[in-house]
Amino acid sequence: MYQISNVNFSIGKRLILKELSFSVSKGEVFTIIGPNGSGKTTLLKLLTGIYKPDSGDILLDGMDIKTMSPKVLSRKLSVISQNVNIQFPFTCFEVVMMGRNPRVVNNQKLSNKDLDAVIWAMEKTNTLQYGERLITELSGGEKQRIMLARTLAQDTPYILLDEAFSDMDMHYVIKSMKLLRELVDTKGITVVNIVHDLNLVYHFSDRVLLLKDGKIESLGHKFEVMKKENIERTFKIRVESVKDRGMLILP
Amino acid sequence: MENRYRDLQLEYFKKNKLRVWIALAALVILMIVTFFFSINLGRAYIGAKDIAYVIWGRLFARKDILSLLDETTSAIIWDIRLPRILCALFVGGGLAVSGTVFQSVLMNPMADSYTMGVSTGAAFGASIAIFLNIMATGFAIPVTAAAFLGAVLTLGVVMTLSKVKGYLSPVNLILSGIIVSSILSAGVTLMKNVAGENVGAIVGWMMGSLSSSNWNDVFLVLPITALGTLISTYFANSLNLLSMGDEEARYLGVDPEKSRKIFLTASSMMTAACVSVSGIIGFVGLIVPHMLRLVLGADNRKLIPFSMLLGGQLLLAADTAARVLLRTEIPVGVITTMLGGPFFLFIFIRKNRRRDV
Repeated sequence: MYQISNVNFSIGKRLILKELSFSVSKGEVFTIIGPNGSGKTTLLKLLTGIYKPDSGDILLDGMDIKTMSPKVLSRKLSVISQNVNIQFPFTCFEVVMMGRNPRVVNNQKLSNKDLDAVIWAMEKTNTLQYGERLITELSGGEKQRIMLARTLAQDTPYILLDEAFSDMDMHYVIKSMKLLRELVDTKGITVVNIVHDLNLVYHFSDRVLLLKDGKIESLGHKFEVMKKENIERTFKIRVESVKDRGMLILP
Repeated sequence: MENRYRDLQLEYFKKNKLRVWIALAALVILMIVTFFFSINLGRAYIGAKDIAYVIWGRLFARKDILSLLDETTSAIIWDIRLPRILCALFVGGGLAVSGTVFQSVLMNPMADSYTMGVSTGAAFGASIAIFLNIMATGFAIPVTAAAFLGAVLTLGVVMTLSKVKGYLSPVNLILSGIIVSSILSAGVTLMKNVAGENVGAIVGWMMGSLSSSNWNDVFLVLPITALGTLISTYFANSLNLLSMGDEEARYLGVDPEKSRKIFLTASSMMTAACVSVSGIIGFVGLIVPHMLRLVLGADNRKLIPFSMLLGGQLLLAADTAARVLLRTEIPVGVITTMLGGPFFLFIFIRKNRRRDV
């Protein structure tokens, strides 16, 4: 469980996040939406411990995230960032195997159990056939599937995603979302997700945080937040609610 | 289902292992051959038996064996060729390992051992020492020590400059390396200018040559490169993660600040030692990692030890060629650059072609 209380954060002189307080409970898909520059990615980076809040506290399962070492943290949460830039020709196997690094003590070799986790993750994401190909030669969507496999291999109770499926085709976006949903429902993991596609938010979230200018515009169950007036006001677009089906965006 | 997993793993790892063993065997055989050829060849031809006698006799202090040879042969092997060969092996290896490490730490495949200005620092130190030695008679400043000091000081300056709020970013390291390096190279030019007629000594040092290698050089370069390689190999797994950027490394359980400091220190000290012994030998630190990545992939756990082997091997071959190819000796730095440049072009073109397909 995440508890965020009175968090302020600024980059340079610009205050990005203002007095944020909310919590994420165990076993839910918590989605963060908001217009460009509203502070979504910054908020996610605070949750991963990359950024430290100027004031306020972020507690992960009751522990202050500032006091946790990278090793400890990497056993608790895995992250897929917006753009990962891999310069060197690692094979996809090698990249997914890196997901097991948090569990390896002192340069030990990967055990059979680790390798099973790697292959399970690649099977789930339908990437086994890429195993020996180089990550530098894959397309954007394929790369994102490998990153998802790495995250699954990391086997953490928390998964944080920053538009992690933005380059995948619709088939794999839905498949990946369903996969995460399945893990949330069966294993009780927690997913914090930044998504732009409002339909996906509607279908795959439990609770939604609508962020605007670094402040909470609306927070609650997806049906409460994903209301016509909320979306139209925040995103400055016109939408139509389709009963039980999500949202139709009108250009 | 379990069985299929096992099979897949086995197939993948078997293929990889085989590749590593073949590469290792090829390199070791090549190294032994080059080693004997390079003792063998030169103005004085020396047979295999003599070589074995000298090494055996010296290592185990067996006067009876040494007395079987005449003094000159023994001296040529032990005092001239052997230290030179060892220097070539460890300078080449050290430059290649530090190149591999720098590329990953700086997240830039175009980086090499000299990107952070270590070589210019060494050149500056050396040229001051050479200049003072020419001007002042009576005492001589050891050029190697001055070069080493110059390299280490430059490194300190570059690292301090690139710190922002106690954080070293790869881009800052490259930029401040370039800045400091260009200031120092102006300094070197100034030294050359004031040195007047004696400019040849400075230019000669900078061209990169192993011709004056002696046992003292071996004792400087061997322990530092060996230790640096061991440290880098031990932490190579973290280096893999670090090459994807700080955030990724942290998400996968590596403290990027801490491990970057380890790698920068280890590889810079290696470069400093190599440069101070040999002068500036180009392209080894850039090409060796690229060659190896074509065969072994990007995993630094394999790349680093293999860089040591291949780098040493290449520089030894180049140095032997520099010795015996022409009547007068060619500086080995010229050979590595002349051969390395086109080879790098070849890799570059090949890579671009593949990307088009």
